[in-house]
Amino acid sequence: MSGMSGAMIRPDNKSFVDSSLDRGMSQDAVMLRKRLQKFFDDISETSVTLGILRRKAKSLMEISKECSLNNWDGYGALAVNQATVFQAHRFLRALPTVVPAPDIMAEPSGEVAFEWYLGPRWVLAISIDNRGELTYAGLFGSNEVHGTEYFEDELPEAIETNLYRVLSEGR
Amino acid sequence: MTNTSSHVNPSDPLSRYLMSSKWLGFQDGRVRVKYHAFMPHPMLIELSVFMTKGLPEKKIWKIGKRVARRSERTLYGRADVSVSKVLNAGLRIDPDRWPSRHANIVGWPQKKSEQKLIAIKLSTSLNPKLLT
Repeated sequence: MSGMSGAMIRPDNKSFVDSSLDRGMSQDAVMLRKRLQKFFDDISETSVTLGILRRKAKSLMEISKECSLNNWDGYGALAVNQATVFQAHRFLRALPTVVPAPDIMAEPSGEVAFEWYLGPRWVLAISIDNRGELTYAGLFGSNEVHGTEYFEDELPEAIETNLYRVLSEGR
Repeated sequence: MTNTSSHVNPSDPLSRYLMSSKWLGFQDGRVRVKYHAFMPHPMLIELSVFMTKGLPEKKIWKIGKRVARRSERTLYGRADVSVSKVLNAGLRIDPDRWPSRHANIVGWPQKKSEQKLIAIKLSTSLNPKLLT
């Protein structure tokens, strides 16, 4: 379903449900795309602006400074290196503009993490390392997920799906 | 492997000292502790805590300040998690008592995504205390 990923990332917030792109997709994929479109339509008026994302990029740079040395947390954390910051920036830019900007923080492993926290049981955390490996975990009510994906040019489907889950069902 | 968790009681608190201001967040007007504070050490795969049962607040903060001073960090607060919550997450407590009252939370899965999920579960619903 990689076609969905690219179609979803639209800086102009216009509909990404293009029926011509549905050809060759499974019924589940088409259904998921339609649900995502509805979700984005619903929240379009409250979506973040590129300005907010720019501020998040600035916060990313602050983290890269604050966590540039080992033991930045007092417990032996590894430094966040520039390759990881680069990957994190790519990830941030790939997020659909309608997705609320996440909290950004480093993890003790030196990865940069993005967190969407809507409540104690509605959380999605995604971290990225210097090779673009994404590690995610989330709580959606009584359901939970975790896994690993690689970030190349587009957001992996599992990441999109879990963003949808935490942002739509947790609202 | 010895189950060292038998040295502590399920209701005992374990204090995790917060030495990064970014580990604290705000939600609905309340302070919360972020899951990052409960991610284990990346190499040792363990989480450093202190067994603070029965100690007065002043003494609990004194330990935290000492920990921060040793690592040349600033202490911002602490989050107290119960032993039962740790055990329910499938982890164990290894009280090495070095320094006094110190313990490590061990038994973490190798997969980073599972560690992250457990850290989220441990941190959720905790009310961190800020150093004033």
